[in-house]
Amino acid sequence: MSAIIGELPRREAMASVNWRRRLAHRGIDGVTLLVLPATISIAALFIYPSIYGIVLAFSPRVGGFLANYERFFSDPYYSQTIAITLEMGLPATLINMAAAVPLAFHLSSMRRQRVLTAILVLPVTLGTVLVAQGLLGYLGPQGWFNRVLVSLHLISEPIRLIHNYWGVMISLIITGFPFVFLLMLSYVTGIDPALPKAAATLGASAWARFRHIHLPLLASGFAMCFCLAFVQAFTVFPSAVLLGQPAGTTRVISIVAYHAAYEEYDYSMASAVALIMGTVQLVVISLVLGVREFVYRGPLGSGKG
Amino acid sequence: MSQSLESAADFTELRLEHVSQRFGTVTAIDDLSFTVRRGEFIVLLGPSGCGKSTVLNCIAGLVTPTSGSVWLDEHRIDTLRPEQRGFGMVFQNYALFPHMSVRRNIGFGLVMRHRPKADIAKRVDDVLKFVQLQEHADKLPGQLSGGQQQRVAIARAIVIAPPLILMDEPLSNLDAKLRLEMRSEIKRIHREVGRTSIYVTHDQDEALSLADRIVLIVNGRACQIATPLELYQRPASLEVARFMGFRNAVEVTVEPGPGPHLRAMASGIKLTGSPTDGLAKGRAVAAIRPDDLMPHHGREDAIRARVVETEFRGRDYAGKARVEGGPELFFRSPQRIDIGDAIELAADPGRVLLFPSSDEKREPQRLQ
Repeated sequence: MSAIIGELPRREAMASVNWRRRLAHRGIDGVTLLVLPATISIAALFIYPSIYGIVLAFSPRVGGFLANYERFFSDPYYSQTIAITLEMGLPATLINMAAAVPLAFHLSSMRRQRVLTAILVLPVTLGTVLVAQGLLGYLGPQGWFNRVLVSLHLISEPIRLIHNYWGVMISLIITGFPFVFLLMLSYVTGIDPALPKAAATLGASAWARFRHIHLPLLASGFAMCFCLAFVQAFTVFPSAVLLGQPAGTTRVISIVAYHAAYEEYDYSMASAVALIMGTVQLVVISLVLGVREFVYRGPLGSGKG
Repeated sequence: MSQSLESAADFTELRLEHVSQRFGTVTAIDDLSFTVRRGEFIVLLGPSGCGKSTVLNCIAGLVTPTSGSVWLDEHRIDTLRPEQRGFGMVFQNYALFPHMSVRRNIGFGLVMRHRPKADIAKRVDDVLKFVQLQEHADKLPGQLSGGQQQRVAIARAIVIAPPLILMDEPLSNLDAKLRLEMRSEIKRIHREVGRTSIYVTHDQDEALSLADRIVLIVNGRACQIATPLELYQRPASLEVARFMGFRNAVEVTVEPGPGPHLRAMASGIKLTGSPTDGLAKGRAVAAIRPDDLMPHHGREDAIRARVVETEFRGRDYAGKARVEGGPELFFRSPQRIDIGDAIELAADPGRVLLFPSSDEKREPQRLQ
């Protein structure tokens, strides 16, 4: 009995226990320290450079603090890059999603989905530069693609698929697809398979099941996937240079930033272009996420069970 | 589509003819045939994994049988898609559409049938009242309790006035009290809506209390199709008996006994029982429910045993006793019993079923 009393915490010890308990109640304990490394590296590698970049963007080499922006928006050679990039990024994202969604649906109901998923995801491991190199050889005037079509007399002269808009578009689709596909697959497989079955027993055709069950449940996932894929496509750089026409039709906004920074050595202008780029992305993402506010975002299965 | 839905509007009987379902090398249903008549409440009863849900899915059209056919009177329906059959189905996890309000969930089947809006609103209101969920009409399924979700699932299935309602273990996710309430609710709905119902469960109490007829399925085969009373009193085989609560199965040797009964003997055991399958003599298995085996003193055919386990059950005691040199037996006792007590157990001859010894049957039968 006395041994048990001896093991009870003393009054001073109790005070420290209380203090700890109060912290733990707010979710702070020893494990919280594990957040430190990430916090420090984010501060050092992201927050500080961002602030530095923003300040830099508003301190141009010549003129007032908005001079960079005046230059960007008054010169079509700069300002039209926003439209050029959007014209590439938006269709590429939409095409990828249109291709990935039916495939994800099909695969989610298949038994041997792992092998197929692996094959579809493989391009992710290649990297944009390797894909661009491959496409240069494959789609070029002397590449397999054109030679096969010419020898089959389907075309009389090679189709031009590189060093223009289409080359970049194809590369964006190839490199962006696995990412979109994996995201959509996880959303699609997250839907309780009993839901479409229940809809079928209630008389819903395959199309009605997609429209009334899958589409509303996936809308939020579509929006997220669109945002992530769009950001990826909008920052296109290597393929626009290698497969496109970097001085003309595929002069995307990242090329302008690169040009300003490493050819004109105008870091202030480059920062300003980067900020404009970020703003355009934010606008598109806010629009999409704004729409997402109106769609269902709850669980993908029925509540219990 | 609407045409086939209308044609399914009423029927006299639903027949499964030699339906088999294989998934790869696994046989889920093995040559199953039975008939459901209009207005009947049929329960498919069996242990987990016996293929009873697959049978239901075959009827609903969610699974296409590997062989065999399903008939609705003279129409073969196993080739129809589920949306062409027009049966109502209640799923085990309810499968409520999480993004739709209760009202829209219930109205879904009517919307799919392109009924006029006002008509839909009225029908949904009627059904909401019927399942007593009026004040929850505009909530999402996630905001409802399990029992309320269950009622929405049933409402959604009956609002389309289906000729046949299929229920796949609808009560298995509810707590014991709610399960009893919902059971009588389902009975009421069947009685008042007057539709034919097929209900899948592994719970024999549920089956006995709900069914007009029970199809007992073990390992994908229908072992017995009978009324609850028949199934309870006269299970067709030892396999069925075991599932229906005959926990004691004792290997015995039988010989013609008093009157229509047989005398059954084993080491330390003397019983009088009722023969099945024309059994007259030889090796047999005596099956007795624990509820029917009780302490009796001074009977000629009593079994002497010693209590090894005891459990208070409120109304009585449940015990396990070991027969000297023989098996362990489960029994019930209205009086208090203690571990180590010597007791004499006996059962009414009508409640002791004697089945031919299982190794004399062609296939070895296994349960669970």
